[in-house]
Amino acid sequence: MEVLIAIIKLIIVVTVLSVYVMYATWYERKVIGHMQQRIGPKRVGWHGLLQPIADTLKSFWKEDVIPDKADKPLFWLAPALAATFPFAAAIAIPFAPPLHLADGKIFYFSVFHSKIDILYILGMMGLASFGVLMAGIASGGSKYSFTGSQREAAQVVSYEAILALALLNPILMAHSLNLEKIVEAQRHLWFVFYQPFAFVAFVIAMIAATARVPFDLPEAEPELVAGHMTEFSGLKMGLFFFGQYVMIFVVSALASIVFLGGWTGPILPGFVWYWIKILAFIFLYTWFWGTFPRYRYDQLMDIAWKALLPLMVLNILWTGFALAVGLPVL
Amino acid sequence: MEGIMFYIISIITVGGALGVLLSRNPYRAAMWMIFSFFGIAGLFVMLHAQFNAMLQIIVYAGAIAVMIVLVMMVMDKRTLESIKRFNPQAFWPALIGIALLADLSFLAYKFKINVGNAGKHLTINGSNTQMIGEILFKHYLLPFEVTAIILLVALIGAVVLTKKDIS
Repeated sequence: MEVLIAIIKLIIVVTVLSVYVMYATWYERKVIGHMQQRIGPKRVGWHGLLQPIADTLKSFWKEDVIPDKADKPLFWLAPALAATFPFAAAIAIPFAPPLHLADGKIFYFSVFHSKIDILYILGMMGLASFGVLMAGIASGGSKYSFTGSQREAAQVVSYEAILALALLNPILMAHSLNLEKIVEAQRHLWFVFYQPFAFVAFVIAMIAATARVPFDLPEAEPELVAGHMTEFSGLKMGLFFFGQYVMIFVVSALASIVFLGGWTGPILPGFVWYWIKILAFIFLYTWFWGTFPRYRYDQLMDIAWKALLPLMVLNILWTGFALAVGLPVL
Repeated sequence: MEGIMFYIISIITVGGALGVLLSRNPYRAAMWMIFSFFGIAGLFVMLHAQFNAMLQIIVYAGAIAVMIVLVMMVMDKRTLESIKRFNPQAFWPALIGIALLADLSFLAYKFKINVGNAGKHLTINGSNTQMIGEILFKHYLLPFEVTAIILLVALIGAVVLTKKDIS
């Protein structure tokens, strides 16, 4: 029975996220269009609402070009991995607050629930970068792809430590790795007010983790054509986008749960609060896209290793000290 | 059921390790290594040590493997290709390998390991995050700190050695 429920949940999550990815592209084009005094998609359907469906259908019938020199098995594996691991991270994300059933059981709105949710999500996010790395390796010596992957590797080693260290402060305060327990610990005041530095560091690291502007170094269009995706076409390229957009959803949900109190909030029901916060983070991504210029990758490494890492270590020392002597952490 | 899962995970682990040894392309060897780490994480999950399993994935598959790939990517391509993956001195290592295999099979025979029990009764009660923290930071605090300092010394040593080379 439990297995059946899990399979049904899994199918629903994958379907919902796939539709979400399609409309996330429409939403981004629309928002970025209005930010740049344009209209954005308008022709296909009402306000261009059918545009993402047309784009998806088109990508199914595109010719699938595989370079002669490509490492064939890895070339097939790379887009699959790039889409699989973000979905694997997304199954641990709750889609709504847990439901307390009449017979004392708790129904979780996530496919996979464990005591170590945060570590599981971090692990899957770490593995998601291998799709991009493999794409560069498999592309048969294409310089653009290879440079893109090289930058992704440099980016991964810089942001991953910051991501984990920034999450460590709320974990220390909640005494748990369980997402529900962390939300529970924020009933009175959200952790963003206790840990403003950790929140800023997390937002910077999460943008680097999803490789979006201003840290979209692996696919910097003006220099690298499409970076690691240069040699991929049709549905294979679409899978990379799937991975990226699902990852944006995962880190947005994680940020709203860990720092903004998840489904806690006044007046409105928890479900509504939770989704307002997630959508705010997704809007933040588009906003940054329309605002910031791109950083060079040595600049990103400087930010991560020379500014954020010492700051986070000091922050953890302070949090630990304050918790040990019983001060309110601020 | 546990037996089947155990065998699948062991095949992933051992197969990944064999892939590391036998593939000619160094990048593919790195990918096989991640596969093997994945299997090891699976073994930890079977032991109900989920914390260790996730650390295995985050630290080894997520960070160290990326580091190895990064080093290979920034290396000169010709240097990388000129490194020989195999050499003709396979005889002695093979002998050591056979001796090790014989040793392990002898132990398995002597302690009468029942193959039918594969994957069962593996659970260690309470091997979770809190237990690990308590054991590390209450009972073994001094060795833990000494290990940390040794690692720091190694880190600084590596920096000093490479700096000397450049000047």
